[in-house]
Amino acid sequence: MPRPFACRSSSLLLALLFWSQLGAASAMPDLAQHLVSKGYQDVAVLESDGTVTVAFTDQTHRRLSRALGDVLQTAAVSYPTATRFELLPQVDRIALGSVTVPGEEYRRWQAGEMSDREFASLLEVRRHPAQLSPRQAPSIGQLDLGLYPGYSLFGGLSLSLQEEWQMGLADGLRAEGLTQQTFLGPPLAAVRRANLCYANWLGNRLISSARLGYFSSGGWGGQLELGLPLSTMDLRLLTAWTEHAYPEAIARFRLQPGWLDLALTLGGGTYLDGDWGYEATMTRTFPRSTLSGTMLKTSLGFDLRAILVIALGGENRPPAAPLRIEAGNWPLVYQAEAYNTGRTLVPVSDLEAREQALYADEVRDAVPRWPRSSCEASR
Amino acid sequence: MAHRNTLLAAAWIALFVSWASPGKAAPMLAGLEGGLDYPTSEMPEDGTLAVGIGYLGSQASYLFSSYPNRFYYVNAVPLPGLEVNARFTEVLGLHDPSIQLPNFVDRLMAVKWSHMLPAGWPRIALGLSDLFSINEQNGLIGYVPGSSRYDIAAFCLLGQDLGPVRLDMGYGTAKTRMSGGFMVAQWRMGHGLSALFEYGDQHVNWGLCYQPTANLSVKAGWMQAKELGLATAFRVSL
Repeated sequence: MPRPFACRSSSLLLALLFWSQLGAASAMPDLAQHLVSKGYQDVAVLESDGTVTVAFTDQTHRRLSRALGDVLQTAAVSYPTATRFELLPQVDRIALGSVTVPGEEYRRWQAGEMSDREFASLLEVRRHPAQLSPRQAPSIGQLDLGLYPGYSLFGGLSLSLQEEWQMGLADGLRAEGLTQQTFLGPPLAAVRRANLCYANWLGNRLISSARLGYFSSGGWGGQLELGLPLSTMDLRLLTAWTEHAYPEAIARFRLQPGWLDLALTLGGGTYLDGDWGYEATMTRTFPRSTLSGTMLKTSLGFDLRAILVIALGGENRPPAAPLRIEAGNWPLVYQAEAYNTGRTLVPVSDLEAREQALYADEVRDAVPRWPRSSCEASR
Repeated sequence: MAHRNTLLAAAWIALFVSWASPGKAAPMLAGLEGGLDYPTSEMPEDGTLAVGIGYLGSQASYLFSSYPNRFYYVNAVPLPGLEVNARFTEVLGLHDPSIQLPNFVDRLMAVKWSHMLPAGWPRIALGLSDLFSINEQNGLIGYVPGSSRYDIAAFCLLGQDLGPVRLDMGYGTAKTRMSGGFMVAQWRMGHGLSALFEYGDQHVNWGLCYQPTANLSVKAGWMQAKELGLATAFRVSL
């Protein structure tokens, strides 16, 4: 009776084939949905030849390096036999870079068979990754409102409130603005800004940012920035024009030496008062705060300032929503200046935050704080 | 009843003192780690920040010598061995019409770099005190001794622990304060209590430092044998 057997076997084969296809088809959405349920946005997952590629926007961790560990562990649970994981963190739906992790070594590290340092040395951080689509949970159209209490002791005690808002409009494009009110003490310099900002990669190596809008006392104007990011350093060129200030053109070289969470920026050029000069900034990131010191010397004067920003509100931000309101940090600023101008009213750098988030050393330094057990992944 | 209260108070003080940390370095009246008026080669832990307030009577004050000074400062260690002090100095009783504050206020900074030699060797340090004064830049404070104490000092220090006593010898290049050699001796008596003795600029300062916890320090001194100096500081990890 061969026919029933053939029929049964072919049905079995079909069922197995269907089951295997179902499994392959469902793993991908499972991971994407799991990431979306954890608050990640613009999520896209691709599995090919054992390599699992995950693109995501993180709006819940204060440090991107922490989010990488969380996404990696979630992906490893969905794809327990993957040979390689490639993570593509995005800002404004544009991937900043890629972090590649070998699957087998990741599982050995999870099992405690490999030290943090050994595992971290295997991570590859690259710039200008490929973009993935389609993406789930789009971040476009959401309004983020940040409230920043402020104060000044210079010239008398002033208390103020700064409101900063931003909204994603399209891939790489966002609208953002800033206002400030002094509600006690001598009025602070009026800060008002409303801009359209577009950032994207230019070719294989360069990232660019263009900004148009209203810039406080500078009036209407625009800013253009070009960056050449590498693994531990980058070069940036910035130029700005506004109605009521001289054109600004500054070149900055930023180095992250991989020692003590330090970053050093050296730069020079012509500034908003038509003066020429040079600047140096050193920033160190501590577990709960960031401390930076900046020196600016131009043909008009000298400015020395220290800024301490203590993270408020813990490690995680409120979840993304159509309208998210968040209290921001309260920086301590100490300034010693031989002159004081409105130079800080034009944004210093739009690429700064995008680039520093993915320095190889910062990613590797975060490895000891990445989650290890599967219980943490499901939280 | 009074006897019982005395016993309770004594027990409370004994408990507090027994919990007190051993003597560690603490900021001087106006910021940098040191004694009362002079810095020492000691260095706080890397990645820490102290917030403090100090007071100096009029006859020994830094700015405008006929007025008492009050200091509000932040003292940070941004890198191992590097200490940065940023402070406001308020001149009590001297009004500045250009600002909406009751008293004249100046902003100053100081830095110190200290290098740790192998165990048993003395510690050396180099620094700059009052290296930037915003009101000196604006012409409100000059280099006139008597009316102003604003004066950049470059200094070097050599310090060593000798049993319970820490001794620091220094040399400064200022015109009025910290000019020439100076020394700071700290006798750590235990239970967070230290006795301080300084000599410099032909003056003697002496006082006490009490550290009830590892983070908190309180200092009181008799400055130049004629004025009171007070300070307290609280240190946190960044």
